Amino acid sequence: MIPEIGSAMITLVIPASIFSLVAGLLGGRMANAAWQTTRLIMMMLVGASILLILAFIANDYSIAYVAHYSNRSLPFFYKITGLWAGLDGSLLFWVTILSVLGFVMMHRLQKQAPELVAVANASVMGVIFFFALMLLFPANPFTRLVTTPADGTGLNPLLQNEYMVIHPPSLYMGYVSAAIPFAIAMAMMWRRKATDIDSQILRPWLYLCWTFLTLGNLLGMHWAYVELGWGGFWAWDPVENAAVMPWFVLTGLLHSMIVQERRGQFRMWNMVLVVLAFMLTLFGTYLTRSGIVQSVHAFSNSTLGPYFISLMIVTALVGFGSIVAHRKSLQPRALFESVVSKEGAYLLCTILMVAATVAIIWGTMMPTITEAISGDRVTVGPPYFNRMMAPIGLFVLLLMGVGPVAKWTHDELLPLLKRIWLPTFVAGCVALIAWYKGLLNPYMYSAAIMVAFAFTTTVHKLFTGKRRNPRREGAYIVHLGFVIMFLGFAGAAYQGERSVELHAGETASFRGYEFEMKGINYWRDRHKETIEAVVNVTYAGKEIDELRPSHFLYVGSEQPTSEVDIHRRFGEDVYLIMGGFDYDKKSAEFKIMINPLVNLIWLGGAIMGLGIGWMWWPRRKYA
Amino acid sequence: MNRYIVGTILIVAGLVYMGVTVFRSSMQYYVTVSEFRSNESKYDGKTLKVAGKVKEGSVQKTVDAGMPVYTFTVVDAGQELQVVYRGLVPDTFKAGSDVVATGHMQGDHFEANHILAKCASKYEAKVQS
Repeated sequence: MIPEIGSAMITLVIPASIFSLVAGLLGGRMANAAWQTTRLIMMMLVGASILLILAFIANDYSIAYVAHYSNRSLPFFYKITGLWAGLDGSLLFWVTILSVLGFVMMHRLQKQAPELVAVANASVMGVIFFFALMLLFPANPFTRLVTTPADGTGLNPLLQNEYMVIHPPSLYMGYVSAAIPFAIAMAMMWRRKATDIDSQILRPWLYLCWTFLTLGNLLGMHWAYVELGWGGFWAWDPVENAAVMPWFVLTGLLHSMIVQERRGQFRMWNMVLVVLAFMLTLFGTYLTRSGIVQSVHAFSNSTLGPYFISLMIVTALVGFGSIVAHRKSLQPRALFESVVSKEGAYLLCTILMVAATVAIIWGTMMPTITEAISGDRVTVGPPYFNRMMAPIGLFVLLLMGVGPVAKWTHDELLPLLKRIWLPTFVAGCVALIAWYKGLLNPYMYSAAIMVAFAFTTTVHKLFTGKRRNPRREGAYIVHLGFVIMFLGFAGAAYQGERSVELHAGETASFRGYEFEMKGINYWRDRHKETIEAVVNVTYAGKEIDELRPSHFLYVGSEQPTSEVDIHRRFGEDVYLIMGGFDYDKKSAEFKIMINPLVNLIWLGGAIMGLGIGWMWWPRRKYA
Repeated sequence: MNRYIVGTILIVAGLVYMGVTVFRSSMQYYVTVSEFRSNESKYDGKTLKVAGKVKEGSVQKTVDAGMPVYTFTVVDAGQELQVVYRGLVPDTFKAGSDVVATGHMQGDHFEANHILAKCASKYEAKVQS
């Protein structure tokens, strides 16, 4: 019964979303019916998601999706995550979140600005319609198998990790919530002829979207680092790129919108960024769901392409068309007087963020485009992205050091330079010390100087604000987190690795660490078989840790997975991966990696989280 | 206003120039073994990715100065390529698996510095009704 009810609910969403869209726009007596339908759509989609989870819990392998992503030995925990483990379910999850957010948006708008409800609701319904079509035809998670298998094929072992519970949902929240600012922006343009980014209606959604995108990306990085076992945290994989592109655009928007609030400028530019951010989340979903690019974690289903392309074209036409139609009411309310000003810094910031996004699109899509044109398949690896991002990042740090002390509207160069004497002095000291200490890697050298510069300004501004202002304080805490994180990224330039084969009792050394292979253990439990190597690590003659990198072979799986072991130190991580092994000869291959400063990334991320929390934390208004 | 337009054009031009040069210097060709064999001179001295299948029974492992060295043959459409790789192979690497080796030709063999392997995974295989 479950699949039939689930399919029926998805089918009903299609006419319901059209009805809500049209009836809402017609207004009058129809309006109330439209809002009720929006509520109904949310309940049906939430119901369908719950049904799919129930099917996982009940081991209903007559459903192809369940049979594909679960089996009887899968822990209960991961059966719930089955909802977003695969292509079809993740699309259902996507549109379910959208329906909930769309309902919350409608509810809030009815109180805040009733005139905006109809158009905003219509935008959300349009997106839901496209997704419901996809769910019904090419990607129905409730499709039955002809013959019911006795057991499912099981969840990819790499996904059997605690992060599976939190990383995909937070990223989806970030992705989907970009649709809400888009919907509200459309409504503001069509119904109000004014797009004010005020603290009540639009801004909370932008913060919400940015918060979850940040969280999702950070969790993804940490997951990759501790679980995927290649020693890095970011591979510039198309899926990662898809997740970080809307983040860049939104980060730019969060800065340029301040200029709109304060000075009434950048009004059109901000609308472009709102539309762009939403389009990039659609593009990202498309990229990872259509198999257009080769990726470690892309699903492939080529039949989805036309749906996504149609949706993106409609979004672009509606979004950019609305901006062009209302270009007159989007004129700036004040003249942009000088680049040497706070506006100038914010403008450069958003330009850099968009430039970063374009660079990532370029690197991600060029292989596909080149193949279409010349037939040659080419790829660019991390070196392309690192070399593009490093100068952009350094420039961003410069802005973080100068922007906060610049004056609005019109600043003078000389007084501005005088105001940054302290960060310049600190950066100069760091430059001299680094030179003296022989730190000559040009990337690390310039990063250290710029980080010192931005860090000083940020800390200085954080503690010298005249008035309590959680938004500004939170923003500076986020800046502080980013600066620290940047140092962690730069540390990757000093990463070192060595591959060795060791028999029990043998020792290898690398960068001052001694690794003594003690032996190999084997055991099995209900879910998996485990092979682990025991390695003693000593540093400067002192034993510091016993690392146990291992291989897991899950029940029902033919493919073992590596589990790395990490000895964390503040300055650097000792990261140990076990490769091939011979149990009888008590020997194994290891890859030893030293990852300097990598913990600054997680520390910076935590500080960013603190800043975000500081902004969100409910409190009484300061007078 | 004119100087802002000039400034913007300069910034955009600079970024495009950077994008193109960095792209050109870091791009790698991605070819199958047979594509590689049919036009070997084109890829002379370049870093490239070569894709194919690991030939059954061709994987040999030796240890050189404590470091594992894998020698194996990658086949595709009847063409073969000898690959030498120093380091750890991924869990998915075994005879018969699809492999993408990144590296360059050195004499008669391909010297790989990175290996990506994908076994004919059932997770990717579509269970269709």
